[in-house]
Amino acid sequence: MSKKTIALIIALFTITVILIVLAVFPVTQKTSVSITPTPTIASQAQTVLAFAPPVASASAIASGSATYSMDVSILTGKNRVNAVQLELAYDPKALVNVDIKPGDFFPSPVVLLKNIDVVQGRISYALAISAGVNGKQGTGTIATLSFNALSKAPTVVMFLPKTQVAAEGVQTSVLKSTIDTTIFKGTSSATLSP
Amino acid sequence: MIPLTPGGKSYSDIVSETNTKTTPQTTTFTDPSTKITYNVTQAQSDALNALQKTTNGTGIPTDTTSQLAYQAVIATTQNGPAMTPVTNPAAAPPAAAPPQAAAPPAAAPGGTGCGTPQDFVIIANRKLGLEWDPTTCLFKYAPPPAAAPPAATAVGTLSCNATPNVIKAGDTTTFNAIGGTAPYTWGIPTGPKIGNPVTYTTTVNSPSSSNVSVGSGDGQTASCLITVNGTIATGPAPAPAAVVPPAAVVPPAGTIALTLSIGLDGVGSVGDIKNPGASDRSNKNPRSPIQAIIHISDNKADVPGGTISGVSLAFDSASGRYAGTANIPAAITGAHDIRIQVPGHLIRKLGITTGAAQTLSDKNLTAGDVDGKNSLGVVDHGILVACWLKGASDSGCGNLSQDADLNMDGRVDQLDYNLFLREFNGQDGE
Repeated sequence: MSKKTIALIIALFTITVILIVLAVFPVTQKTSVSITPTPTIASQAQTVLAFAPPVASASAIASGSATYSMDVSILTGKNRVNAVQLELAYDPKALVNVDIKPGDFFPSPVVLLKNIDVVQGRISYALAISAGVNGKQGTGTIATLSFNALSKAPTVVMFLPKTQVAAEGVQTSVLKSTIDTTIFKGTSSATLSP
Repeated sequence: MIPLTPGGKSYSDIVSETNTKTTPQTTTFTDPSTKITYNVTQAQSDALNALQKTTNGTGIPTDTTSQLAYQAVIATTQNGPAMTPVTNPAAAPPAAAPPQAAAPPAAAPGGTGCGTPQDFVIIANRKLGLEWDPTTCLFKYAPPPAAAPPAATAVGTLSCNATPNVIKAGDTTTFNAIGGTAPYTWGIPTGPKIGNPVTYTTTVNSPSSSNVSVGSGDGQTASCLITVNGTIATGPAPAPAAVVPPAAVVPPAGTIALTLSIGLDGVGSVGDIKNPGASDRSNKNPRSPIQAIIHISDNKADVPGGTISGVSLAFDSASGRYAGTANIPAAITGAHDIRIQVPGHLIRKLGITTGAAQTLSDKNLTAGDVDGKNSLGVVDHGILVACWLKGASDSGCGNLSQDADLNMDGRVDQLDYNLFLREFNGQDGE
């Protein structure tokens, strides 16, 4: 074997080793992520929606049946709310005879929409303050749910993403957050504080 | 121009050579077009065989010039006893003869003198510019005289009429010359007009009755009465308005046309979402045109290049719907959803792309999506109420007042609000 052939074999072997090393141990590049601070805009969305604890009706207690009511509370912050659209989901196999009515937050409210899908367990309910009446700030009950519970087993009632709140002077929903609830788990729901 | 043979000679030269050669007949020649064999002189044989070389083996010259020369030579062989048929294959199938293929010359009477060629031979050769000269017994080149112009034919006394003969100033009528000969010279009340045709159509602006004169090529003159009513028009007669054909809708190169006819709830012939046909209270005179956006998309996400903005839709009062054409890029291939977005309305899926021009015309759009989120909600309600009760200057309405004008009547009012209430079901667009 000539020296030239040996040199060529060595060279090819060296190149092969280098390629294997590169393949097995890839060069890791340090990546830097630059975070550009964005100016903070004071959010116009300050309204929170939540469920109050369910309350068994007096008649239900007397009769031993399980009929409950549960308020949907609103905390508007600085928003002057003039309409609320509740998109709620529940377990139709746990809660039956579901209904929803306006609360006392809006004076003379106008019900824009009321759809209750007892199969899917879906409630679409929208109500607004009367046209020409200024929006309202504060805390109160925007609507009240009523239902019969088939058992005392815990079950969830939740807000869906399509839930929105309209307020004066704002072209987007002012809903900041929602708080779902699990009822029949001993203690229920959250307490809103202004 | 005298056509030349491939050898550069005119066929009259060949005729001359053939005629003047006195070589005794020593051979025969078979006309490939007639299959007739002739006794010919050697000179004739030479000339014919020379021409045969241009036949590409078909026996018939293939180009017009050679055909002419060939026929000329054939024709000259009737010159006396020099060329006489020795066979006459009557059963031979007709060959694809060249035009005016030479006929056999008539046998010389008594075998002496030159005789007279058959008439069709003379006629055939005359077409070649050859005339039979009985004194020399030769065909001589004699170019045909130039065709004389056709003599004008008088067709009677010239007269004239106009159709119609009672018009309004500015209308068009047609004058008709009857009799006489062309050319015709026309005069109309506003000044002389020259024209050759037998009819002359023009616009007449002069008022009252007028005589329109016409002269014919044979020197006759006549006039026809025309009554022009209406206002006197001053100045020269206006040119007839150019008839502009309607512009054909040709999509730009690289695009495919979508013809759209869209109904908007609360507008024109469309009612609302619950009663689409109850349009008695819909706005019959909406603003127009409006701008739409066409989305070519999959699962509500536009494909690259699939957002076509600024699609103009004009209200068609006859159908009570908006109509227009969108041009989608031809580069977008495959099946995708075609969706339309009109401000203030939920996006509606119209169909599927087919790669060819389409007409999409059976969908109505739900009104109320004021904020353009493709969903109806209380925020839309709030904006509409703000635009209605507080005006466009209110921050709750902002620049959305036009989108809140759901019935397209140019203002936001209780009609829009009520339409919203009828449309609202918390639904999303497509």
